[in-house]
Amino acid sequence: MKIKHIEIGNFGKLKNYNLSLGNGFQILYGENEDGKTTIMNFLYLMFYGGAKVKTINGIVNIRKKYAPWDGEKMYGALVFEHEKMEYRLEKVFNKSRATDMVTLWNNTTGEKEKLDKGKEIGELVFHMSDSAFEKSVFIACVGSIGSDDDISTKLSNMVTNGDETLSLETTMKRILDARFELISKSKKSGKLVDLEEQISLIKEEKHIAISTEVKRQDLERELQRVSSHLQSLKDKKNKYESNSTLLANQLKYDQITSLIEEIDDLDKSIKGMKIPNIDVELEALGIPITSLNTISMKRLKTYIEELDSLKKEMDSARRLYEEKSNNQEEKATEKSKKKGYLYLILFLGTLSLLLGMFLDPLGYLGLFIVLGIAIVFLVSSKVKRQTYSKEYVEINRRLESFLKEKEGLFLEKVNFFCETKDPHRATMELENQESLYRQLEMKKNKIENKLEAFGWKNTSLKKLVEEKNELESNLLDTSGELLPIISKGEIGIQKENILDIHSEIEETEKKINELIFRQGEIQWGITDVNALEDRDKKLTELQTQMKDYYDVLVIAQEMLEEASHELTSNFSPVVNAKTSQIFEQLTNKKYKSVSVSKDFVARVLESEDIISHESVDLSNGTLDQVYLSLRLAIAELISQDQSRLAIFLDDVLMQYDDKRMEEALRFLYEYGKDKQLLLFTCHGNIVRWCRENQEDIIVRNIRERKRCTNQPIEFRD
Amino acid sequence: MKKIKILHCSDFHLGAELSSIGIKSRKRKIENLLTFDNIISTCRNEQVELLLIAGDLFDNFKVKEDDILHVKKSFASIADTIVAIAPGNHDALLKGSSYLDEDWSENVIIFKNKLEYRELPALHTRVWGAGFLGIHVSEPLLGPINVPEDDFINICVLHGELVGPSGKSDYNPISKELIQNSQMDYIALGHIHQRSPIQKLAKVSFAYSGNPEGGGFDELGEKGVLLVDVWKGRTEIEFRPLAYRMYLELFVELEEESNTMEVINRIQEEMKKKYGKDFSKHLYKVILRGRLPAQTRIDLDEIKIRLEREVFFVKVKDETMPEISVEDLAKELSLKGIFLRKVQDKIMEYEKAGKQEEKEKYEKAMKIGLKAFYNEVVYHED
Repeated sequence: MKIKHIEIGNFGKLKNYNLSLGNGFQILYGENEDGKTTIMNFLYLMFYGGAKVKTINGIVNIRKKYAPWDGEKMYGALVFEHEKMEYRLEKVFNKSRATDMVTLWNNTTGEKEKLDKGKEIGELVFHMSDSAFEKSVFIACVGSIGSDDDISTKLSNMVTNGDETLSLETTMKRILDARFELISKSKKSGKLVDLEEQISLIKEEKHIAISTEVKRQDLERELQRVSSHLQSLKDKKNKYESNSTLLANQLKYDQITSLIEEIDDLDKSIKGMKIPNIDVELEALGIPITSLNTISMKRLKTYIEELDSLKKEMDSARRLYEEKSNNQEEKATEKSKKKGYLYLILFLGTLSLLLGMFLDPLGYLGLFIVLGIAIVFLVSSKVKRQTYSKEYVEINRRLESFLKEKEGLFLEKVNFFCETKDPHRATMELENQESLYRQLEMKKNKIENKLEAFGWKNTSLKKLVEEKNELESNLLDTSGELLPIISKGEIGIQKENILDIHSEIEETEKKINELIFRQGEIQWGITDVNALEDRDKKLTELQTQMKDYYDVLVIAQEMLEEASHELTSNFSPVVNAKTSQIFEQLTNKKYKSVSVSKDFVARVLESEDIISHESVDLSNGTLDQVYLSLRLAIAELISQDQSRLAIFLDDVLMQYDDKRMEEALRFLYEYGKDKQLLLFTCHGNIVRWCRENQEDIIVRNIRERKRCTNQPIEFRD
Repeated sequence: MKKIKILHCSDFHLGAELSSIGIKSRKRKIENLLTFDNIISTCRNEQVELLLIAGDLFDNFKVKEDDILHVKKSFASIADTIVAIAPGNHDALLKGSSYLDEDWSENVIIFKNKLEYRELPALHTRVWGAGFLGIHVSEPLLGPINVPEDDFINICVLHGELVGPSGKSDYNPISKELIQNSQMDYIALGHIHQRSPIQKLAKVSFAYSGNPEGGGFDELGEKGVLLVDVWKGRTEIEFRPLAYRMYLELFVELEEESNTMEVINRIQEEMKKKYGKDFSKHLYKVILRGRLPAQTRIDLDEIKIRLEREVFFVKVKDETMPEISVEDLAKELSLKGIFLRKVQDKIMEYEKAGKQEEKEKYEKAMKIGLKAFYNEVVYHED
């Protein structure tokens, strides 16, 4: 490859700049700021639109760096020769590589080359990445930009990697760091190890939670079973109890019905009876049964009592009357008593006669006394008998009238029940009424006792009827039929069962309480299985990702190790051999070999020496020579399958002393005979030396070229 | 012909802790409730006759009393809408479940047993449902049923997982056969957070509404509820987005960006371009792709911190590759070149052997190895 012509329309500080280049080794001279680096970067960006270069200040985006301050677009063209064809590359730089306007003319055929938008022109033409191109084409002086360590690292990288900017060790370290961060060297720690532990803990926790959940569900089922058993027990109990209630209702119903009947009967009886002065209105329902009865009965009682009292008055009148009647009998008794007196007088007269006759004549005296007494006695008795008879008639008359009066009153009262003039019949009627009253009273008492016994004391008939109706409706089922009547025997058995059920219910409730307590314990300790499952799922996904990443890191590490091994065993010897060959020529055979080992140590062996020198013992100038040899060697090796690339050397001889510089310029002159070799420099001594000692070397002044044209470049249509 | 207007939703997971988004999770927890409120308003505004909640209304049985009370009051406030709830695995009818409370308003039906129904004569509809009695339900709840033969619309609400003919699941397995034989007009399903299109087997329409508010980056995009009009034998469905925020995956193809700030600007541009003026309210998983200059280093933490000054939540995944032509690089005589060649040989080898998994691993190893030449390659959880 050979650059023939550079035309810069607008790029950085260069405007309408034109530079033609020839074959072989050429020197492009310019003072600082004249645009050496600008030209090099222009070339780089023409071939690789996405190019960015790494400098001591970091990565530089060339496109941005060289964008003109006036805001105009950057553009330019390049004529180059490659594989016996001449091309003209025209480019208008826009914001990005993708938007650049690029045209590649094949000057040899006159045709426009088809371009793949995704690919760089450099890749299309040279089949080479930008870094490979950069490595082969641009060679800078190393000594000027870094320390000895930088140089030896670069040298080592060049040999071990083929790329001075990359280090095997750094790359490997990055992979190992990433790997050990996941699983440490001892395999005992690391993110992945921690994660695995975490997952195993969660799995364990999940296992416990699930078995707890199973226990909980078993418990729940048990609880449901026991609860439904409890319910069935309660239902049974309720049934028994409702049967008892039914029976009780039945009994109550019967009682109340019979009571109402009795009350009705009593009422009827009372109503059937003649009760004077009772207001019939009072019999209307709503008046308490007892009060109704009481009123009626009281009336009856009073009346009977009144009758009774009249009867008693009548009886006493009769008794009085009869008593007086009996007085006559007494008088009769008195008459007989008087007869007794007469006989006594007779007896005493006879005795006195006998005494006179037989014992003493004085005894005749007694006969006279007795005759006197007898005459007195007979006269007074006749007077008395006339007086008494008159009184007796009067009293009898009055008594009879009194009796009649009383009888009249009694009969008048009795007449309410039955019309009679016969006191005897009236008395019988009274007795009859009394007997009826007693019967009613007995009935009433019986009813009242029952009412009291059933808890309905002072309850009205109306209320009783209401209660009866309610009981009746309770005893009917929904279809209006009477519920089956349960026998008392059956109820008895059921009542016994209720007692059993009661104790079973108590036990069951106790069991339920225990189960609820256990459920509470489980519930308290339960972990959210869903949350654990989610977490397990997420962490396992993460683990899979990490593990994949780890496996991939292991593979990358293995592959890198294999590549490194292959490079050191195949590439390094070739590089070292080629470098030694160039180094020997560059140093005018002062050194015969150079080698860079894997341990970053460059060794050089002088021609006359047996002992090699390590890079630390070498001067910056020598190291620069080693570096240049290495870069040229690698450029040759990289492009060995390609046509030789143009090589741009950026002031690579700046650290050389005069002798070394002369040797190097001579070498480069020879080395550049079959290729385009461009040395950019700002050192006038190089130019002077060339002009004085090697006239064949073309020296171009960049500034002069810059002024050569003021005409803007023209793009072909 | 009689029609019933239904709002079908599920999987609110009220009270859930969203630990994956750190301190923002509390805000999301509240927003979840706001979305619930939105649904209640929709019922009111759209005169929804039947609100179906197909399980997991609550995330667990330790949801705050206040939240439960809020839900109860909200349901009570839409007295004209019948609310039918089929408890799921997250809000199963365990002891202490709020579903067992007595103070739910009269318009709320909670299915607490195996499949049963309530007749809604005013709506000419029968609503069927069943609830999870434990966290795991491996026997199908949708068993053989006798649906009365009349012109009532039969709607079923269930929490469960669709399975194949002999499929098993701990989350109420529902097979095609069960659906086909169910004689329902519409089955409102819950459990799967991804919304499904309406499907039909025999005369039975069924769908998963998905959750109304995304819960993570595995639940992307628009979320909401289904508004369903059901006639006897016919169903029309409309998806109504109601989510407060969306979980989004944003792929950003990087080209020219050479530092973190440029990448941040680019991500913001993409967000605005794709999600308009509301871009800042969503939760993003940004996946950076494309080829960047090999030396470019992107600070993922800085991107997150800077973007979250404006955007609700961001996590960033770097899948960029160094801007290198692998093909050309593999030809190079360098460590990189040899590494690439070796890996590519292996990829070819596994490809020929049909070992896809191994092949993919080596492809990833190539990317990571190549990246390691320029940047750190430590595992980043995002």
